[in-house]
Amino acid sequence: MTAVPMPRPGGFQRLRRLRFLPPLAVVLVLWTVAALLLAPIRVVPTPWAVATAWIGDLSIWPVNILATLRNAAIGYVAGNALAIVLAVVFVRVEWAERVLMRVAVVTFCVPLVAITPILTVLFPDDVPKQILAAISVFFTTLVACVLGLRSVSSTMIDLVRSMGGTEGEILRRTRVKAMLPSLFAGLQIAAPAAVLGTILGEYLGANEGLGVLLVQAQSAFQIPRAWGVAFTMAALAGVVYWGTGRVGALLTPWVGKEVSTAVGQDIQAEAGLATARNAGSAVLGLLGSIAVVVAVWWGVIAAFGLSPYFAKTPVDVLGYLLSDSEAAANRSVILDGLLITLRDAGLGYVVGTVLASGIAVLIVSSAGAERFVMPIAIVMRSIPIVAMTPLLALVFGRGLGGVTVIVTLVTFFPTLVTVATALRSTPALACDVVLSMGGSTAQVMTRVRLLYAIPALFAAARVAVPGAVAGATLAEWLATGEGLGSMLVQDYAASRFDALWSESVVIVGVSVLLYGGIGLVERAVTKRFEMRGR
Amino acid sequence: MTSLLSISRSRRARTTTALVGAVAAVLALSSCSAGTSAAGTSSSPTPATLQLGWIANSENGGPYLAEKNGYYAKNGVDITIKPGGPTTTVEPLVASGKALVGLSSVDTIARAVNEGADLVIVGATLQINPMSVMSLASKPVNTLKELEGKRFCVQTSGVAITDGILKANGVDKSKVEYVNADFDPSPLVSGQCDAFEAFSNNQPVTLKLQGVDTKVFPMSDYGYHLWGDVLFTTKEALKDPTKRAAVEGIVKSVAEGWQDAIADPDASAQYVVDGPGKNQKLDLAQQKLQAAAFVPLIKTSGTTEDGLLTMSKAGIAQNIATMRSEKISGDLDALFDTSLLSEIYKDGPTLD
Repeated sequence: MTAVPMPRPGGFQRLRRLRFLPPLAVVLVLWTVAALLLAPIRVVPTPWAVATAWIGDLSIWPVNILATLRNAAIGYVAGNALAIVLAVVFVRVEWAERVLMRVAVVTFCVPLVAITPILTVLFPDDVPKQILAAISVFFTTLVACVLGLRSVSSTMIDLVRSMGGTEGEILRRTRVKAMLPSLFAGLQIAAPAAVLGTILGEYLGANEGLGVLLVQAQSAFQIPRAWGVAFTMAALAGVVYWGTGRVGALLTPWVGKEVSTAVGQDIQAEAGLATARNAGSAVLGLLGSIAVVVAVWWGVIAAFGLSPYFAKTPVDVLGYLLSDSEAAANRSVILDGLLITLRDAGLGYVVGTVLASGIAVLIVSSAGAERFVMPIAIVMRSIPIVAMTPLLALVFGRGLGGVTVIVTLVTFFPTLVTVATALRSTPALACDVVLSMGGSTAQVMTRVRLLYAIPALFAAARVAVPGAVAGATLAEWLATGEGLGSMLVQDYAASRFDALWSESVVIVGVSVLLYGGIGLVERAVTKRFEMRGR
Repeated sequence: MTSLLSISRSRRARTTTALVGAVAAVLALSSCSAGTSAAGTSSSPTPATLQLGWIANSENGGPYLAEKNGYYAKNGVDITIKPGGPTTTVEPLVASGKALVGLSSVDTIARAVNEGADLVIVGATLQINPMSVMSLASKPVNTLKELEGKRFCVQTSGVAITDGILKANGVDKSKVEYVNADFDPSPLVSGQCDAFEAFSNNQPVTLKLQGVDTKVFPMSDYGYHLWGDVLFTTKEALKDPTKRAAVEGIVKSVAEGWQDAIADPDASAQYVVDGPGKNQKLDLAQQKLQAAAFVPLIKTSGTTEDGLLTMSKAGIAQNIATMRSEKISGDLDALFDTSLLSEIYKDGPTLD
């Protein structure tokens, strides 16, 4: 592309810079109206009250922001680095993925209330916060990375192979390039997640940090300050999100401009094909995953001689669920809770996915929509649910409505980013073909882009479904007081660690099963498109 | 069989240690913790950690004031005070020895002991439990019975305790609608519930400063007699002379810190705002009110007689009765060890 400087009137340029103002103004007006209407119940402070509080807190922002940012950054880098390395290993070594991907799911959906006592006992000072941040980003980046590495078209791989290329060359020449857009989408999703993970870590106790400030503000009923903290968290996440996006755009200039001859070929991406070729290896893989999880679980407890009172072993859990005298009663209590949690998670997942996919289409079609939606989405994603619950519960109630909103919030953002990225990375030629045949932009969207987005939808589901279960447990703890989420907290408060661990194992097991289920559906759908393609 | 198991176990343990060590080394970029040497001679202070249950504010005025006034050092302890938060895990931290002394509530510790934790309570900060029923003054709930037909905001973690209190006082639980809440009192103000399970020294104080008047009555009027913010350690630590001396030093220092805080609550609040809470820019007026609200809970006729943090025989009996009503079983007498307090107060109830 030759650089032909486009003479632009300076005034217009300046106006373009201010294009974020109209959406901002809309938000401010709506906010002010809500604040004034709800003034007697003090749930929504006015924008100027928040601004005044924020400015009044100027002297303490640096120390708290730096504390949170430092831990979030360490977790962000460590978690993402591990995810990228593992993704490359997965693509090269098939059995590694078969065994370890499920283990990765476990890290994503294990209830934190079960592992935080262990983290705080094992690691000094800030390390538990960094680990929580790393855990929060690890799995989503891993999924994004694997999706990207696999999204390279099979013709491309065949081409390199036919020219005598080794697997290593395939990786370097085609896969890494194909991975980058997806990887950067993953890194963007990880930005608010890392901040949020650190905040959760700060809830365990810290001298400074935005999480401490939020707890202090909420418990002291300093609502303008609480909102100021929440916006600051969102701004932090937003800066990382934006920065990652810029770096991604610089490093992947070809995205959406790809001159590819393959129309619909990417649908044949290998995603999912590497999993279980036959029932035998599937069972072996599952046993391998269980063995790894049990070995790590037991190994950590044994290696550090953790007190059996809070660190329960697989034997304790099996006893609680299967062999104790009250095992049958225990099972039935947990099953009742599980059904409620699955209902909560399912509804929230469906709403979140439909909403996110719809909005992804919207923001790919209109830059204005993106400028309006993304900041709000980032704000909603990076504020701890615990801080938003009073407001959410007020608006949506503490029943199924409130839970659905909370689960939707958790699943919405990763799905939005993943699907929007896929819609964007549709090869330009594929779009041009439709346009040149007299098709409209809407047809490009429905005929081509959506087709390309299908693998992304599944990748998003791999994150969103376990995420929905985790979100449901959170909502149950904070809003409804029923289901496994509420049971976890009650058991924790009562030091019933046997029950706590058993419930955690059930949550993890069910999440892994659901994750496996997504793979099955994905294979069926992919196959259907393959058939049609031929 | 046993030997086979132990061999394979130790080998796996070593591999895991190496693995986890590597991960820890990567993650712990900057945190090289100095190995705490157990060998503390009587001349050099013993390093020890005090784990709080909540963030640094007036609620922890005593422990922090003790640090400011050099009491820990005077009593032979090189102290590190760790603030807590909503999800702090005080019992596991003390049980594992990461903190020598922790602050928590009696029933939680009792439950942990029943699950196999080796914990023992050595001093009681709040002689009167602050758990209360708070309602808006404009729409007051005056008695426990009046909760019937009302919506009652309770923390998820407090449901079991509340159930017990309601039942013991003949309140029909089926007529009380629990609403889930957290430490943030906004659901009461926004009308999501009619009453809020609060701490008399916390939410009512903060709301008052915001111009929201509340009606508050304590659960202790209804037979809920559990000490709050009790100091606890492990039985094992009490058997080790060095650690025992350090625990005694911490208990004594905290008592001295509270003695100062009670003598001048405003100064205590001022220090918490300027010192440990400076990064949270606490509201001084609110902290002063809160510090004052703590005084009647900590200083009672009992402590005037026996000294702050005291655990009287009658008090222990009341705590045990309350826990029995919460269906907590086990040898609850063994939960309390008053020997350190006796040692500290052997010359009378005032410390100098």
